[in-house]
Amino acid sequence: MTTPENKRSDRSRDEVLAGEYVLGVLPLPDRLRVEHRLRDDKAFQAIVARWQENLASFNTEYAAEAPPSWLYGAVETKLFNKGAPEQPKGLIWSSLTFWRGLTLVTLSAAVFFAASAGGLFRKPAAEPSVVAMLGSGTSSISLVTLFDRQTGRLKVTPVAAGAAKSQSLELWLIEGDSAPVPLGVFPDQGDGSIVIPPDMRNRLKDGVTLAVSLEPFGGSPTGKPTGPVVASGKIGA
Amino acid sequence: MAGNDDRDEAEVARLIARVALADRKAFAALYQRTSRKLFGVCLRMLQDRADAEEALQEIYIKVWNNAGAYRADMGRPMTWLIAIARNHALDMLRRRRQAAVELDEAGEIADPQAGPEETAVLTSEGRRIEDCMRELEEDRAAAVRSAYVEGMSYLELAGLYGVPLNTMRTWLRRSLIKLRECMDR
Repeated sequence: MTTPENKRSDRSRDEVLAGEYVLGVLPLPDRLRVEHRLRDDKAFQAIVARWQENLASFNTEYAAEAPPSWLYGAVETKLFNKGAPEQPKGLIWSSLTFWRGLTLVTLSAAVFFAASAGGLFRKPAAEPSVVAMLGSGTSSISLVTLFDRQTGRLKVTPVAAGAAKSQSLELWLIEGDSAPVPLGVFPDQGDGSIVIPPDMRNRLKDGVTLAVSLEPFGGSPTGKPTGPVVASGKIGA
Repeated sequence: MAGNDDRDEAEVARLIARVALADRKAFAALYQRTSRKLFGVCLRMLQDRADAEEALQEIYIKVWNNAGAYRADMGRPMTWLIAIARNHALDMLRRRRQAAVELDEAGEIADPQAGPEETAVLTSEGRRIEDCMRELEEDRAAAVRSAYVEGMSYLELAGLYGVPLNTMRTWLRRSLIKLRECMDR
């Protein structure tokens, strides 16, 4: 039974709670409860935002002071140095993040890349029984792993991290100085392998470069890489 | 100087929007422009330089990761950034002080720091809350201000003003209701 009376008192209770939250007087468990509620309660978000704006005049009491000069470098290192290397170098998947993720799953199972050049590995078993998504939170790649209990085989497929269907990883072939040629888009679902187009298969040989870039969902709209290269390397290197 | 402030705010908003698109140069520029203020927030609330340095790093990592969540209807960009900084510092304080309370239930109270009372250039909104603050009893207004600026908990405020915890809770809740009523007038 929601009466206007009830509504009014709920509203004023929320006003006080939001004010206490913005003031910062709540003990930790209460703070966490408020933050949880803030995630999807739009009306409550607005009440908190209003208090934040109202009490912002107290912000003038914070005297600005320069942080030590090393600090920005430390922030950059934490944020960016975990990512992919800037230059194509070494093996494909030479991304540090990729291998860091991989070490989590190489415990005992044999690891196969689903995205290997055509026919290099046997066809995966039909019904993978365990699926896990590995990611670091800051990397542009997550790894979908599929474990088939029957064969003991674990399959690892890289996919674009972040919200589903927002970005894709696309595989490219680069021969010498030529423009990259698209080989396929990694599927964003678990059973991921790329079938290399038949006319491209014999072009996958020693010395050519494979690269993976982050693209809009579904792959590059232009036929050329448009996003950052997250991993690259030469075949046979 | 309101014009300058507005231009500053517009620039900060523009930089946050660029950071949301993973623009590292914009991130560096945003840091350049805002880190002194946010470091001031950390120092004042945490009262410890090493903690403030640690906190500032985490705060800018949050800014990088959450820049996409900022919208103009959430208030001014500097207010938003300071809220991120204050919330991070408050989480650290509450964790730290929760441990302290467990160790010492008698509630040894931290020595309050007398804050420098700067004369501030206030926005028109800000001036309204300052007007409303004047309608509160003096010690209650001071308690509200210390809670916000220093990040003091109910327990610490109770110790500082020499009143029972529940009394302090009532003081602040009533003050919040009065402030809200005053600003809605």
